[in-house]
Amino acid sequence: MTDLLRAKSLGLASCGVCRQVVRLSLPSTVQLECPRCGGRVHSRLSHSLARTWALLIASMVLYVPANVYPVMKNTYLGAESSNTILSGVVLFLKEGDWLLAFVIFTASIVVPLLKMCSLLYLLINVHKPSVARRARQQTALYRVTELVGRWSMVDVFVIGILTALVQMGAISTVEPGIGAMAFGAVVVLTMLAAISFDPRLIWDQEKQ
Amino acid sequence: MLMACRECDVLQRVPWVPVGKKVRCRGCGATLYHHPRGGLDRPIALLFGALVLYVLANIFPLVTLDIGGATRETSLVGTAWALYNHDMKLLGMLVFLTSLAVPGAILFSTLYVLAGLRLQRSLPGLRQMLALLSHIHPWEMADVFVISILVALVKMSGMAEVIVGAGLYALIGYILLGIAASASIDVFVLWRRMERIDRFPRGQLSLEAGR
Ligand SMILES: [Zn+2]
Ligand SMILES: [Zn+2]
Repeated sequence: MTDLLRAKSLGLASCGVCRQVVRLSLPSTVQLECPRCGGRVHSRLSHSLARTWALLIASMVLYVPANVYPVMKNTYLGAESSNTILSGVVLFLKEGDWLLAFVIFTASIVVPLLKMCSLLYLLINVHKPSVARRARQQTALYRVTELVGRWSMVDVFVIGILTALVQMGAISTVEPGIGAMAFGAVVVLTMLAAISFDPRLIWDQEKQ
Repeated sequence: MLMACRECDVLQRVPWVPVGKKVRCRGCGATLYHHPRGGLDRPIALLFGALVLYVLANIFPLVTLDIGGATRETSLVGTAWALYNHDMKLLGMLVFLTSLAVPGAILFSTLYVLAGLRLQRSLPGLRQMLALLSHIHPWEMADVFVISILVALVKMSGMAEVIVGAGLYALIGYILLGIAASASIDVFVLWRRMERIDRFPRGQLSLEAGR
């Protein structure tokens, strides 16, 4: 696998939208426009790492209120109860709803944590030289991270559906809590962080 | 054709493969493109079906809740609206975008692009539509929404009677057709077709070939 050449080393870049290979102009400050789709061509996404770091740190900060504050307030026959993400999962477990507990635990706790950890891992390791096998694993990790992120929206949607449906006056009502807002922001920020990360950077430090 | 992998940047010559085959990157194994079966007609047919179901999913209620005779139903808009009205304006907008607006926008713009390519006409905004599709794709979450409805259904089934509405069946059908349609579409292949339209607009094709 020594005959593999990166487009960047040949002064070429691939359009992120239509995949057209374009020759980079010599003063690299000039913004290149793709001749096929008209989009901007980047050899590497500009400020990819700084942007990913910023979005990741913001999402980590918001992850705290997302877990501390209640995501949902429920009134049932006058009795009020409010649940955080974690206490919601515990409640499902107590009621014996193993499947629901598993779905919510995966979507709301495992997926966001996994996403933040793997982005952190990729950001820390991106400047270290690595062998091809390791770079391939990191690329695969990135691919999975990008793919699963949207599934953490499950909890936000469930809260919305319950808020819309359970408005039965004196019998039972559901209100969204401030934690839901923070959690929604975490989902959006981690998705943006994953999009800002340029996986081609992983290969720039490859050992031959 | 020359292609550079979007994940590892390896530059490689790739062949134009026959229908049903895909090309993988020599450096990292990512899929570079696949040549879908069924040409343009298959995704167009599937997306028309999906469009009908998407409209139905928005007309009919998804779920109806019945607590001792008092009923309440919700729809896609209703869910976003409920959050918006309960002092969660941004969250309501996020739900509106991801469950309704972006899926709808993807549906319409994909159909528009496919129609333009099928008719071999450079309709206005065709390129911009196709470029837009690559950007908004991650924000389409109708499938996540369906899973959420199922979770909510199970959660409520203990305390009230839950009636599944026609809208939910339509929504599930829309998602299945959408999955089938996106399996029969490859954006890179569409861009190549687009290039051919620009070079030989309709009518000019025969002339050029005759030379
Ligand atoms: Zn392009
Ligand atoms: Zn590759």
